Amino acid sequence: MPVWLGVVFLAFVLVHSIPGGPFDTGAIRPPATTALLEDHYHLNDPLWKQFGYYLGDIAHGDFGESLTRRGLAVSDVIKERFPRSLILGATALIVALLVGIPAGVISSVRRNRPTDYTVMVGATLAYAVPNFVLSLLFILFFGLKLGWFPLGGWGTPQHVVLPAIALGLPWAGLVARLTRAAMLDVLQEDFMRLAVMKGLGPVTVVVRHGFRNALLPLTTVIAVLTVELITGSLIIEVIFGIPGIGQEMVTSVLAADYTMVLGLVIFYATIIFIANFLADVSYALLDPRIRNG
Amino acid sequence: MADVALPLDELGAHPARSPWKLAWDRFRDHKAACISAVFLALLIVVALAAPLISRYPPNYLGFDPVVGPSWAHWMGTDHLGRDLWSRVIYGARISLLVGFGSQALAVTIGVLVGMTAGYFGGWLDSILMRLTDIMQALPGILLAMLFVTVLGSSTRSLILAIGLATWPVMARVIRSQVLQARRLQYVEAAAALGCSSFRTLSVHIFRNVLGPIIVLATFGIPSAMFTEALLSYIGLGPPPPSPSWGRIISDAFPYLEVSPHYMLFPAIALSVTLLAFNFLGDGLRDAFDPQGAD
Repeated sequence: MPVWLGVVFLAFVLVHSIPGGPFDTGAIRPPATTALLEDHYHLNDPLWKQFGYYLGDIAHGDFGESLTRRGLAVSDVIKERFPRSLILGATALIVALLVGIPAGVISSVRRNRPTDYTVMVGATLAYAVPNFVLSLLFILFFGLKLGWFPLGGWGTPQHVVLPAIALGLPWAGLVARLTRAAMLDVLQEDFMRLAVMKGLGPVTVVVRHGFRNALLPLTTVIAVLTVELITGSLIIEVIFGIPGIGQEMVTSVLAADYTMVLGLVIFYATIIFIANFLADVSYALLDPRIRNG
Repeated sequence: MADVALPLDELGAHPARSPWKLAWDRFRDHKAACISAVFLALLIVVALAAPLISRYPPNYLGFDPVVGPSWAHWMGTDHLGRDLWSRVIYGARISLLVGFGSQALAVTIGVLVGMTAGYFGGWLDSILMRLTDIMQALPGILLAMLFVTVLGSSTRSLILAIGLATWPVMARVIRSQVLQARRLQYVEAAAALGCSSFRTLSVHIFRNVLGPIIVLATFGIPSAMFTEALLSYIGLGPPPPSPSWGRIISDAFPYLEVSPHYMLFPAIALSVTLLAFNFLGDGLRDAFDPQGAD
């Protein structure tokens, strides 16, 4: 909680130190009107006092309204747009796990053989290529050349496919590497040898005995992935024209819509806190050694 | 007493090798990392010698716009009729400058904070670590985006913004390394011999954490370059006509269907560079930390 407050304060200070005020828009109005406006929004009070007002407001769930689009409440924007970002992020997470985990398991079983090397080079490649380059390549080949998927927009399941893969694939590379490392640790355990000796088939040994134990280190990764998928979706939403939170964030930063930027940053920070908390809890739930101290 | 000549060779003893020599030997075994190191060295030479290699000034307008690759224009031209090869070459300067510059800043702050927190502990440690907690609670890209908005759009503010956004990761790792190194016997011996805290830290402990710092910075460079390209892509990078790779790629977006080469060349340049830094990082990590490698 103190850390969360610190984040709110950091974001508040940063946004307030952006050069220029919200009413320096070039609009012609009498200086008295500007003074009234600034008074109304407490802009002439000391920063700590403004921070106090702001905290009071967000305690009531009021993040203020957009500075550049009149009457548009920040909380309404979040309510309307977040579900789309959530669908995109969740699909990308599934892509990352569905591609990354099997790749990592196969790689660990075929350790130091050509299959392993190919998978690992592929993983580094997926991880290193920027997601926006991947997006453009997907649009070029699967959108423009082959015409399999729409180039952008939102509404049908087809619209989710390309952006979700572009967002998830780089992290599939990371998941593959971590799965491989975790599997290599497990594979040399005595109980694995026992499983082989008592005559279990190779698939049963690897999946039931090996993978279940390798799963544990992966739960913390999911918290990390949540953060990465949130930041990654900033640019993916811009490229594919998805009306989610990320697109709103970029638009607001470029339009100097400070209340919106601040509200969204706090919203992001809150999600990340929840994700980290859930990862800690699930870690304890999955591992009796931690649960029972 | 007569010297007894031990049959060292027969006992299978190795000649003494310094930790750095050992690391170098392990690094040489990592083929992808070696190729990457050569590629990156070439890239740095190309970036430094850009005026000699570029063939045309990067901002010279006046060729036919959006033309495919030819002998006159190796990568074709962009939508304003500028030579793409020259722009990509000059773009390498920005990318490398932001990559190295921001990581130099991040390492400097990270080393100062991490070593102070790890060595002195106590309330100083608590305060510094709460600070890094707060900084780390926001995704780096978001933080860098806010810093750039505050600092204004230029190459210099990108370096500052990305450096300021990434030091907490460094500080945390360096702190944990220092905590381990503090318990090493020779560090205790140094303190017992009357070394000042500053000397113990800057000479004895620093040498121990240098490996992890190099590895971290090597992975930090491509992620800083990625952030630079991303911020430039959305329009927060150095203003036009600056040939940042991210901006060239975003400029090329409307021409994706008609002439994909316009997007592909800068995209390949960026991707291959990031890939090379990642392989280099892998090689260095295996070289400095043989236990962690498989």
